[in-house]
Amino acid sequence: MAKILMIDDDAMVLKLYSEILSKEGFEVLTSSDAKNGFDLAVSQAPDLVLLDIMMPTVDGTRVHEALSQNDKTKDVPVVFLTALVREEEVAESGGKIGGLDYISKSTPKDRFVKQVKDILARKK
Amino acid sequence: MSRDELDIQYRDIVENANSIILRMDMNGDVTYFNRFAQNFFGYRQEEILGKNVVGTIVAPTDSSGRDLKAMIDDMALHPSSYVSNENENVMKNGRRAWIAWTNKSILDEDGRVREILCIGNDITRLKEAEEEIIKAKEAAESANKAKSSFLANMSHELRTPLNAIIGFSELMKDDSVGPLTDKQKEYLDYVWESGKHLLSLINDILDLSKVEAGKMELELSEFDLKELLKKSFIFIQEKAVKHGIALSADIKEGIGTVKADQRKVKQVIFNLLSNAVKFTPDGGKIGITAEKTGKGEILVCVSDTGIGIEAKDSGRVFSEFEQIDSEYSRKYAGTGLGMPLSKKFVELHGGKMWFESEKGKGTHFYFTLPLNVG
Repeated sequence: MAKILMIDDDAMVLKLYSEILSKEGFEVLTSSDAKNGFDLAVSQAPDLVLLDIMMPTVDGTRVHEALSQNDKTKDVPVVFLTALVREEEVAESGGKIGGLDYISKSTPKDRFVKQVKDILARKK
Repeated sequence: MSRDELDIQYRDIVENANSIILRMDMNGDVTYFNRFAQNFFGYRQEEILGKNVVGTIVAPTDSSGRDLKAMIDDMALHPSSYVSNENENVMKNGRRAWIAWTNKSILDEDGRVREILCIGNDITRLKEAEEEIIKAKEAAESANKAKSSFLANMSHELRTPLNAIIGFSELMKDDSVGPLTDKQKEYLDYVWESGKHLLSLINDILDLSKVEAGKMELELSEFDLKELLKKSFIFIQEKAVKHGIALSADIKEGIGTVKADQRKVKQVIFNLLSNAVKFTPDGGKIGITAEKTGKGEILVCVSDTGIGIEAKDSGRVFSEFEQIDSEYSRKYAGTGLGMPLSKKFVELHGGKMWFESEKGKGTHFYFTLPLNVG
C-alpha cells in the first residue's frame, strides 16, 4: 500500500489525517517540523507528500521547492493541504495553488480519501 | 471726478481692502504694504518698507522644511510660474499662516519685470481642514489594510480549530474508532452539525466583508461551464440519495467554454443546489438547466419541488441574515448569507439573479452570465 508523508505544524491535524488515512490502509508518516519532514521525505521515499502551506517557521512552498530540487524526492508528488480555501472551491480532483494540487482542510473525510486516491492513481 | 479724486479713491480701496496687498522688488524687498497687511502681519509701515520679505513675513523654511528663500529667488526669475501660489508665511509674533497668493509682474517701460504685486488671503483654516482630511484618509486606509490582513489571518486561524472539531467528530461518528451509544452518536451529530454551520458562517461573513469593502475581485479564467454544471451535483448527491430526491440536468447545445470567475460561479451553483436540497421534501426533484439567450448571455436555472417562497417573503430572499421564518426555520438552519452573496457574485460578473416561486410547489432560481465578462 502507498506510503504517505504528512508535514504540518499542527499535531491535531496530523493525528486526524493519519487516523483517516491509516484506516484506509495507507502507511502514514508524519512530521510537525518542516526540516524534519524534508529529511523523512529523502530517507523514506514516500509515494505522496501532503504539505501544509502555512507553517510558522518555514512556508510550505519552500519545502516543496526543496523537495523538487533534491534528486531523491523530485519525482514524489506533493499536494498542499490548506485551511485557506473553502471546500466547495476545490473541484472533485483538487484545484491548483502555484501549479500544485491542493486539498482544503474543510473537505469531509470520504471526499478527502477519494481525492488522495485519485491523485495517487493519476501520478502512477 | 478729477484725476486726484480717482487716485484717492483707488488708494482707499487698496489700503482698506480686506486682503493682503503688497509689492516687492526683484530682490524681494517690500515697496508697498497695505493697512490690512500691516494689521495681519503685525508690522508697522516704517518697520517693513525696504526690508526683504525673507526674514520678515517669509521664514527661510516653512514648517515642513520647504526652502522659501529659494522660492522667493525663483519667483523673481520666473514670475509667470507663480501667478497663483500657496505658501506658509510668518507674522511678526512668530505665528504661522497659510496664504493663497496671486502674483502679478509689474513691467517697466522696456518691458522688464520691475516689481511683483502680491495679493493674499489667509487660508490657514482651509489648509488645516485639508490636512485633517488627508490624515483621516490615511488613517482610514491603513485601518482598512489592517482589517483586510486581519480578516485573511482570521479566516485561517478560525478555520484551523474548526476543521479539527469537524474532522474528529466525523471520524468518531461512523464508529471507526469504536462503537458509540445512540445518545453519544446523536450528541456527536450536534457537534458536527454546529461545527459545519459555524464554518459556513465564517466563510460567508469573510466573503461578504470582502464584497462590501469592494475588495472582491473577479479572477477571470476560461473554463468549461458545461463540465462545471454537470459535476455540480456531487455536492448534494449524498443528501439527495438519502432523501430520494431525483436530480436532472439539461444543458443545451452551445454551452461550453466561458470566461468568468470559476470559483465564484461554482459557489453560486453550490449555494443554489444546497438550498434546493435543503428545502425539498423527500421524493422531490431538483433540476439544473442552462441555455444561451439571444442577448449574449447564458441563462442558468436551478429548480426544485420544495416548500416554495410566499409572496410576502420574496423581498427578503436576497437580504443579509434573513431567513424565511416557517416551521422549517430550525430544521433548515443556514447562514442567511448564501443568497445575498450569490446575487453579489453574479452581479460582479454583470449578470442578474432572480426567482419564481409558488408556495408548496417549488422554486426556480435563475441567473445570467454574460458570455464575455470584463
